[in-house]
Amino acid sequence: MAALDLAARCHRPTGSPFSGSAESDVARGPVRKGGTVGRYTVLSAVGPLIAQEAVRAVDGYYHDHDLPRFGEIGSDAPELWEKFSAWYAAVFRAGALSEREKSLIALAVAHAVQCPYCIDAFTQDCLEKGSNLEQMTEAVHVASAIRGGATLIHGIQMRNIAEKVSM
Amino acid sequence: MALTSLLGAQHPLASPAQQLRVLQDCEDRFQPFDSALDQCGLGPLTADGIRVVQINTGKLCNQTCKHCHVDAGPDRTEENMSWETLGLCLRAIESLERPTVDITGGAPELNPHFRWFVRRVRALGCHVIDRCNLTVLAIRGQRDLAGFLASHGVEVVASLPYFLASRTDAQRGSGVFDKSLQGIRQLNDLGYGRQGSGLVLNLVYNPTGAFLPPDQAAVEADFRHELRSRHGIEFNSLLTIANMPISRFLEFLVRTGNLDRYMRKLVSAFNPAAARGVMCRTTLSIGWDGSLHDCDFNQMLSLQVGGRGPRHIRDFDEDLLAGRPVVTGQHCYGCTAGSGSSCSGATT
Repeated sequence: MAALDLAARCHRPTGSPFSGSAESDVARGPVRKGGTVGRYTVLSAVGPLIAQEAVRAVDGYYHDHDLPRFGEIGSDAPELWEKFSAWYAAVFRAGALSEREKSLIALAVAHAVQCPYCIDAFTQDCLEKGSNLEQMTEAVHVASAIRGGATLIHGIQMRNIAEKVSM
Repeated sequence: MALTSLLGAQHPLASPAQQLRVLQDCEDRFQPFDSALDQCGLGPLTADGIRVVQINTGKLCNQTCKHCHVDAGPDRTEENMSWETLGLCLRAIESLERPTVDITGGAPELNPHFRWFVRRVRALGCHVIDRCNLTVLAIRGQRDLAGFLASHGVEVVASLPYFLASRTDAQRGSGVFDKSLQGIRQLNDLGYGRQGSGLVLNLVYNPTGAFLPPDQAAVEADFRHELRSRHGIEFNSLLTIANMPISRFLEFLVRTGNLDRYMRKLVSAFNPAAARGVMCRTTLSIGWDGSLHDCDFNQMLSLQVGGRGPRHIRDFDEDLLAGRPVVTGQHCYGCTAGSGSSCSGATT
């Protein structure tokens, strides 16, 4: 359920591709590893069994725990957020295109605009719509091809200018 | 794939008490399940009769799938339902009005009394479901199993998490996809999954990671197209079942740092409509030792039925069990997220 409308109501995303991401700030401490048995990592103590991969470099501008906070954008402009949310939800509902197809398009666009939040959200969403890595990788190639083509076509601009200023 | 269960590896999460501790710890960070039920007027959850008797005949299995909520495997040779306990199950089933009898495991067919039990239950006129891993059809001593199931009109519910080998094998073990297709072909040849045969073959989609299942109808159409065009095989329906955050899947979530992410997903996708249709309201789950539970997941967490009713099949009493309070916990979010999840697939 793509439900940014729900997110609008409670000012936190629920059920949309932008919800459900890891929140490293709720982690409770590092994993204490006690070795491995077979393919299992055996944790040395009972208390910190909650794995804390959360200890990661988070000094950059992008934090995965910010993803579920998307709805906070609505705090100071609730009407605009509600309009955006309703429109967003409608866009991703099945129409002439299936929800799975729309999610693959979103994944490709996420790569083209290089939005880490969108890549996280729509990778998960594509998997939850039943897509596989073959299909998702092809979608990313489509985005790459368009970006590559868009770069190359600007070579004509280069040629036009070079021609204009050259003897 | 390593042929060890969590128990065989002496992993702390082999203990139901330890799993419950991890899940209860989640209550500090996520809304308690009972409170979510209360908020939409559905709590406390109570049973509404017994229409399905689900019997877990044991933990022995020829596979060691990474997400298995039973922690089953070839090394789980000790926990198998005895002939005497199966007899007690039979007596309880006889007293009910032709419930569906859903036989699961492990690989239930590896219980030495499986075929005897199926014959007896079918003779009572009950619909019987065999939760089959497909590869068991090809192991020594079981090559006539498909024919046995067909001749007794048993519905086969078979796990096939994806229509590609890569994702299926990643979850269920190297080479399992190809062997599973062989099993389906064998069943198709007997009429399973073919229109008009009366033999039902339903496949089960499990997410191959920490994400929710797709829309059941949409992914069923993909499976039908892909399996038919790539492999020429047929099935009746595809059931989508979410992974419960218990046992081996819980170990995966903890080990990979996905526990909070997955729990957040389940909690944020809580669907009251799915909560209304949870299977525990009409199911009685029986453990290999005869213990009584609300569902197979509670069984694996050693959560026995609540209320004033019996705790063991020897003391079965329909009147006391039919309206019992259902024992719930944070893992129950797995059945109420999105389109809902049950042993019969999506619930909405």
